[in-house]
Amino acid sequence: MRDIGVVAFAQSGCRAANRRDDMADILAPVIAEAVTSVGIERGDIDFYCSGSHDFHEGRTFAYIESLDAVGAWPPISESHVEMDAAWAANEAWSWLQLGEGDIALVYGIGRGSLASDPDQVSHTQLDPYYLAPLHPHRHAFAGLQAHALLATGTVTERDLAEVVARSLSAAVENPHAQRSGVHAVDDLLAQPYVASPLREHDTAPLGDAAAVLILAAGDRARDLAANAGRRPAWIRAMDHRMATHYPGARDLTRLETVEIAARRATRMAGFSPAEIDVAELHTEYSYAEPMLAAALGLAPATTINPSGGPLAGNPTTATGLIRLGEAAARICDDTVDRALAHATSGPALQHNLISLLEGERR
Amino acid sequence: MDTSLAAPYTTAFGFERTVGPQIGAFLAGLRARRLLGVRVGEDRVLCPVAEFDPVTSAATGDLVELEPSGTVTAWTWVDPREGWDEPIDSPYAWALIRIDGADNTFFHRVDTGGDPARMTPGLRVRVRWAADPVGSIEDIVCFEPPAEPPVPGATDPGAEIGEPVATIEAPFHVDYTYVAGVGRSVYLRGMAERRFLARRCPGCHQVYFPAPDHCARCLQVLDAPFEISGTGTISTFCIVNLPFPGQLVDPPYVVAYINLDGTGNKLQHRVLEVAPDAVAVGMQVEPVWAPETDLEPSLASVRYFRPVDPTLRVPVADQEARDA
Repeated sequence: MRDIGVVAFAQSGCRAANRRDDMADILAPVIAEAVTSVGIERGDIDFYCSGSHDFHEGRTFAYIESLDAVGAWPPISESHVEMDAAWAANEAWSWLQLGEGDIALVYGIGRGSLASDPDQVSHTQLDPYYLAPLHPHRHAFAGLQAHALLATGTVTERDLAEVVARSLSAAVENPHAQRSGVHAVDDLLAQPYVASPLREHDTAPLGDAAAVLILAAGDRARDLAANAGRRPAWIRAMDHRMATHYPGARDLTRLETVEIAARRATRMAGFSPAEIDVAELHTEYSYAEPMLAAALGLAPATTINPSGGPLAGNPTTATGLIRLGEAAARICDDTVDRALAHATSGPALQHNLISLLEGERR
Repeated sequence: MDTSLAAPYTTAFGFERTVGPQIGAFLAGLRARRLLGVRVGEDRVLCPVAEFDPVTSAATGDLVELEPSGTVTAWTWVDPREGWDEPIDSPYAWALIRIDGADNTFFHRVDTGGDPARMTPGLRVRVRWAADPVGSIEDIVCFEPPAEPPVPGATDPGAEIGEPVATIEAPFHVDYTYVAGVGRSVYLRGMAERRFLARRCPGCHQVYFPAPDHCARCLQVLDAPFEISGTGTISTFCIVNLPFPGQLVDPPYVVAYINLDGTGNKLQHRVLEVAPDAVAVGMQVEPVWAPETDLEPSLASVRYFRPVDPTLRVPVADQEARDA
């Protein structure tokens, strides 16, 4: 395997609703920040890969507008995934692994605010015969999974509130957070349910934002990172697995996809999720944190979502990519040596991507 | 102005979706108020019916009839949503229900008359059928606790199961807000005043109409807007002969890429007041504006373009003039 690492990460602030900018205008300053920070020019980038979803935008091929933010003339080499941009990072990482180039720029743009009622959008990701026609509430599958988890007796509603309190408190230090603050667990538990056992604060707040990663290979990565006073966060492993689409066909209390992806990533990286310092988890719901921590086998001392995580800001298809960026940033600035990033897609943690990252002595 | 125009709009499709043979048979069962499961592997039964075993990917086997009753394994309690055509007026549960004799669980609503306290682990429920079943998952309104234990053989035997359902209606409807962005809002506001406002890139001198906020080539923020005449040259065109729903002009008519004078990009618009076979690349065209009362911040304020040379013009048909 080639050494492929994250050398830059930038994101815009998570906003509940950006009514000023089009897709390109949200993205352009974020791309400029990432590119400028490592001292390269647009022409140095060999490959672009992005993630967004037309159902959030309401227009077919909506992402084409975002290409205005990368300068696609003269023509560039680029690709797009119709899902969270963490999978765009996976594609770019694979592309670099194949030796197709040395520098790739990955961006995610998510606009959760454009649909007037998110419940009109959420069912479009479901089985079209048995699930979508019922138009379930958008939190329905998370509510079921949380209920099933609590029924095992390993996690309590208070545990969920503690995840929220810790996440929102950590987000106070995150200038990009959409939601943050210090909350007493008892106050959180006094709030009404939106989809029992989940309360509003147990669900990630939808919003608008963009995120950008620059990936580079080998010595090029070391040089670029050094230009910014950083070290590369080497992506030592990436693996993703998907569960079957009908939630009634799987045990919702067990994340087998995460277990498999983590096992394979461990083999690839040479170290396991139990040996990392920081984990950025794509927790669109509070209950996902204890489930993921258990499935990954994280050590109790692991710092989870120091950014506040998705509970502090969830710009749809940029949210998973931000996890990768946040995890990498802590290696780039020498805070930690090993980190894990998780991204998810589909209802009830159906599809999961695990990345293991590592820094080297400099 | 440093603000963006925004407007509501709706995307809707009236999709019809084909189903597989097993799902079609299951839906035909629902239409007859009968609940079918399907055998997979040696000894498992799935309900609802799947085309393929989610564990082994093998094609599923024979259909079996099941009692329309089961046990709740997990649930989440929700309120009915305002503005939605919900089949239950009071708060209800989304639940996973293990149908008697099945090995997987069934996702559907459970109605306990608005009382969350009646949702308990292992709650026994049975199907409440829709009044007019059509062969859809919605033929089941919900599951509900039985008022009393069912007497064997006393349940509704249902109707004869007819031909498998071949297709289901799968409409899509989402209401959105379109945010034009501060860049494109400049030209849109100009349209409401019968003005073509273009912008130039300070870096590469490309002139855009319509202009975004920054140059798509060199990424610099574009200079202040300035007015152009709106006349231009046909760069390429096609003759539309195909009718389609929502069409504004009766075919045949011309849609062209027009290189507006003084700009470096192309604008797509209709070219009317000319016989389609008289249109040519290089033809000079000018805009025809909507009446004052119909002007809006939209490219629709320009109803169409027509040849600058009056000798090339032919009157638009009354129909086209009204619809354009």
